[in-house]
Amino acid sequence: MRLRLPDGSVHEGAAIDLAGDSLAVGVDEVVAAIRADEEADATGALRIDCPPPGPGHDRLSRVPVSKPTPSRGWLLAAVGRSRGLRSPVADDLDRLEARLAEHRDRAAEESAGDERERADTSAAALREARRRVAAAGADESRLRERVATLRGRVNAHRDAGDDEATAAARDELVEVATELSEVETERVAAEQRLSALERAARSERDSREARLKLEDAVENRRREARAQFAAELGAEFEAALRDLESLPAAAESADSPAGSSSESSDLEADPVARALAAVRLADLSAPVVLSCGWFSDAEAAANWLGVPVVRCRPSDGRADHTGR
Amino acid sequence: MLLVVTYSQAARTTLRNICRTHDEVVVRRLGRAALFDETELAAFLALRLREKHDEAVQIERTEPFNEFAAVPDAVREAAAAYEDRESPATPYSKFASGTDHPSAAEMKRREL
Repeated sequence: MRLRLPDGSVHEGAAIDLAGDSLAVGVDEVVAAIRADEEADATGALRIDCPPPGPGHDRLSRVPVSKPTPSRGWLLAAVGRSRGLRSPVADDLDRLEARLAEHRDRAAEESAGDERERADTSAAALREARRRVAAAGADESRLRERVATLRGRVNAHRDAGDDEATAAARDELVEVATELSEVETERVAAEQRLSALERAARSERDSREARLKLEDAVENRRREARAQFAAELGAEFEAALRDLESLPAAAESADSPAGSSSESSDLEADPVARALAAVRLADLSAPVVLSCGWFSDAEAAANWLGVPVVRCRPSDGRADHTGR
Repeated sequence: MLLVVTYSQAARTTLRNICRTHDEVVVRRLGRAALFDETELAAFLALRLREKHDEAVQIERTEPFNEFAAVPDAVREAAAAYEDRESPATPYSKFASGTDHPSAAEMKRREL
């Protein structure tokens, strides 16, 4: 590998140590330079000539890895991919993932597209429609009661022979009956609107359900693939962890969460140790960027990991005391 | 809608077959239960299922839930306020005490 810093200085070899460099080159920058196309890179920037990153490099390009607590299965899946291992469910998984992506695209298209023509099936719209139905229903029954009362009153006045009171009550009855029929119309309209929305919401739920099923299936296949890789590579992984433990620098790396404990189960709990073991198992040709302790220098790291290594200062600015 | 719930493997299998051959009546499949729409055909299928499997089949008629018509304001508001609470760890009893929100015991006593 050949690495040119922004200031023009050039480093060569399978192990390049930038941790002691006064120029602060970040891990992100180095990883980006490893992945960058040769032509795409502008002069003056950090530039690395190296083999292109193959499968698995996406997860194992740096230690610590991009996830704070990478699981063993997640790491070993990357190791498996780097070695060209293919789980028996891989074809299934590809197919399911393609279908899921299609689903998501369609959903995005639909929500972006003809917004005016489609019914608004949001929870808020449905709630508003239900509220209107309830309000119209309440108005209607109140008016219905009022009509019944007035009808009684008209009859009573007529029986008593009070023409004037009868006429007055009748006028009021007509008024309230008109209002009632208006409210009835309103209620029917509100109900129709609500049931139209519910029908639309139902088909929305159909596609949600289909997507949920696909997501579950993808998850299950992934779990199977992880379990498969873990079973296949588990023994090697543990051997690598034990070997890592026996490194002289391991005791010095007190900045790792596992501290200087010598229990291998603790080492297994240390995300950095797990990632290092995975890189050692992986079949990578592009360089890996280290910003952790464990190794006395870049060369020792490259030797143990079996890949080209660029060593950087930890991105959080913490001093790397094992590098001195 | 009609809610059809099965309580035996045989009944579950028949329900599955019905859903497969008559998906036009099926609104939603939920494992060993299904929601049918409210048509005579749906009722016919549900009844046939019950004829075949007796007590291993439960049929209920559901109606749409309108919280504005069926639920008192206080209950609705309590639900909205509690889900909007600042600390997720606060249990409802503590949240409701000293406020106008109904207690769980009160709500338990009152039917909709």
